[in-house]
Amino acid sequence: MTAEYLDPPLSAPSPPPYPPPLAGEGRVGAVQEFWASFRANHGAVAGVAVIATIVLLAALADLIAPHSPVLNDNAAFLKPPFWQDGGSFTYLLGTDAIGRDMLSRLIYGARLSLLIGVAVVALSVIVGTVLGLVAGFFRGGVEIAIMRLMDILLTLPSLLLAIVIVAILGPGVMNALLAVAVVLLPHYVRITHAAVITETAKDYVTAARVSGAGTLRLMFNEVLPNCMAPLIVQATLGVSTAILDAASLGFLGLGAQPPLPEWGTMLADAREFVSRAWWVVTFPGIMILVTVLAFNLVGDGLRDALDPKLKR
Amino acid sequence: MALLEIENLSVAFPSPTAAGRAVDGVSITVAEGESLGVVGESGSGKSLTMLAVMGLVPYPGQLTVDRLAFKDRDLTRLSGRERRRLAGKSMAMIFQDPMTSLNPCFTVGFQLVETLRVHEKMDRKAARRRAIALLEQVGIPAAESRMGAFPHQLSGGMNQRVMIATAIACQPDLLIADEPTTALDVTVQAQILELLRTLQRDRGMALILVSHNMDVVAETARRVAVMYAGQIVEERDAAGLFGAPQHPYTAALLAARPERQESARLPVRPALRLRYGARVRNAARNPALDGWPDPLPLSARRP
Repeated sequence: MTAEYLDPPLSAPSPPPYPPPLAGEGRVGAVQEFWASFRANHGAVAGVAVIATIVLLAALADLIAPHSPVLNDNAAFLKPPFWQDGGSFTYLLGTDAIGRDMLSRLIYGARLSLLIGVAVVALSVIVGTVLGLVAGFFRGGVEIAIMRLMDILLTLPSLLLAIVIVAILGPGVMNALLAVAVVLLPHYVRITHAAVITETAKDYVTAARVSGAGTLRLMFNEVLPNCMAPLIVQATLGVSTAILDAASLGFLGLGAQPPLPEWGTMLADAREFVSRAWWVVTFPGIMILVTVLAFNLVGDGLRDALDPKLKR
Repeated sequence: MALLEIENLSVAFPSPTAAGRAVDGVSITVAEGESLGVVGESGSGKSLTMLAVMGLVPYPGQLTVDRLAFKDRDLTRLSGRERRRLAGKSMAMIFQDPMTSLNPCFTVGFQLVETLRVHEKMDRKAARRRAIALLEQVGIPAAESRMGAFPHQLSGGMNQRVMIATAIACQPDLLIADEPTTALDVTVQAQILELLRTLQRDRGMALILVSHNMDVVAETARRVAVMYAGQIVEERDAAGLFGAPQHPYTAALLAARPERQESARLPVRPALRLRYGARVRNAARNPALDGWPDPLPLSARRP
């Protein structure tokens, strides 16, 4: 028995002097490692599942939704959900004050909310990253101008600022989207700016400069990829903020206008029936809560997985 | 013909109290295929001089120079684009810390291939073949498989080899090595220096080796310039300089090497915040520098 340990058969292949390398080994390994540490966070995985469900709902709204989100049934005002007295299986989650199916409106609302969340974040990430890169690369006057402007934006309460912008542009989904994007902008500018300053001090940037890289190449090819981790995390968390802010604007009547089935607007429409028909307020509220929570959980999970300092 | 001519190069950093010149009237000439060592303590302006040559004076430094020419082309007159083309191809530079000198986001192969594709206009396949050949040339085992490795997967010595491969990828006429071995352990140091020497000899490439390590310079460079407080205090052939230093600072520096040190201490550098130009001249009045000739000869140079 011990002999086997002491004398391995001669035919056994000796290990290669260097680990057998494969093309792209590093990249695949990095993805696997990322997934391994992301999976350990059950909340984040649940968040991903919820988001996937909502994305499916939004994508397949035309097939899933039992009714039109805007057509009303004059025979069925404020019908309760099916499990309550007076409810019916025609309208599973009941109807609102003018007889529109709640379930269908919620499903179509997912479309709008996701669109707003993703569009807002895409807009402010792109603009914010460029501004942050410019501020980080061109020190001096440009940096001061950009960063102080962002500081000013940060001093204003976010919802108030959004309301001001919408008041100037006029209510509507697109303008609410722009307003929320402006509100979120400073976060991305600051994160990028800070990351750029840390990265540009490193030798590889000087090395790239020495080998003749131009400023644009340095900004987008060399430095930006190294600033991505915090931006990805902030972007995920930003989606939830964007959805929430857009819903708030909708609630105040400044976002999506009726009859668009936006969750915040639905809440606003239902205000006066809170005491009589709980379902018209509760379900949009739950949808907002669940979606925002899911994005936050995923954002946290991403941060844990992408930040080596937080790894267990 | 002189490959690189620097005449009276200064880099000043404006400050509200006193304008400090980190590099103060440095003149260096490097001939083709020559190896020049630049030594000096930390903060003597060695690296900054080299960065200035590459056109990379860090903000808010201000560069003034009478003549800065590479192959008889005035570098100060070139447009940014022309200068960048020249910088990557004919002049190359490697840095002290190989672990941070490569972009951590990309594989070493990608970075090497990118350099070749941009500067040599090679197609993907040719660049890859060339990159593998370069990695083999700088002594990286299993070069083909190392192409897919990220910088963090390689050791410091390996990364420095990759840096050297990137630097020599476009057959530069001048390689500036800014303390290329400081971050490496001694055995690897010797290998890297040997590699630089071999490359320099085989390619007829001029080499400027910046270091605070006298032994490294003594082994590698034919001519040595000693920098102190932003000025070149002595510049001679290596044998003469190490054999019979002319300037007291050089002598002090040599005497301060660990293997020679018995009781001598390197004189403390005069305070930094003196008015520019006053530093070395005032040095004689610094009690720590007693025994230095007065008035201090700014440079004891021999052609």
